[in-house]
Amino acid sequence: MENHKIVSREEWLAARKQHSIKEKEFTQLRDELSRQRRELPWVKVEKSYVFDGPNGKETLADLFDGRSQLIVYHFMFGPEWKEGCPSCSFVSDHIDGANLHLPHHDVTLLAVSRAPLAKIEAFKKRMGWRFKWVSSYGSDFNHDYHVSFTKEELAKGKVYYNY
Amino acid sequence: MVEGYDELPGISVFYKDATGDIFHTYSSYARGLDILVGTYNYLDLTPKGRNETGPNHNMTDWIRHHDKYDDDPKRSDSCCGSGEDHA
Repeated sequence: MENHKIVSREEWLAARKQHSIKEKEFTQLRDELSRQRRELPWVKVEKSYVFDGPNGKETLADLFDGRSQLIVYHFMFGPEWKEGCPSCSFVSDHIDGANLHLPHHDVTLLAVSRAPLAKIEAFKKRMGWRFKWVSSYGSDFNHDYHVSFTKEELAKGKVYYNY
Repeated sequence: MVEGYDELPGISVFYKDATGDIFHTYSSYARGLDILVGTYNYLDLTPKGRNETGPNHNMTDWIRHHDKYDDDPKRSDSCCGSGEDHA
């Protein structure tokens, strides 16, 4: 941070405006990337998944909660763990704010972990979170969506993650 | 890929049509999750940026459960504190 360039307000403004050209390019690129993401093909979910949640057993369809779009945050919390992972907790500290608005825009956002529901609920209480968080314990859901791996996969070093 | 981990983070998106059919539309992992973190957007505006200068050069260098930070957020030199109680 030492010896950073210090300039007049006029010079600062000129440099800032120059940078703003790049920022605008990035904003437009991001919009274009999001448009292309929406055009990606889909895969029909043929398998039935059942989760353990605050309302008892719920299917993947139930998790939509009457909306047409569902976002699942795959939160790292293994069945044997004492608490959820710190990085996922950092990410999840941002969920409740978004959830004040998303349900009013046809989006249900919730978290799924393999830890049993009792562990999830105790940790959620500790963290003071309000978002829905269900357990996929005993379900193939985490494995099928490439966020949980079997001992065999780990032993063979054949883990499929992040494409 | 983080070796030896049996759980990793991600996000997946699904769509349910009027007939009840469900489709998987999108998944993202690792750095693809950066956009979920509003805190990073704030940090990216500051002179020090994300300032992840620890061994991993990522959030694990500094992120704790929010009830586990042992520094006083009012102190900017908390990384080098003597460990005494500033309360």
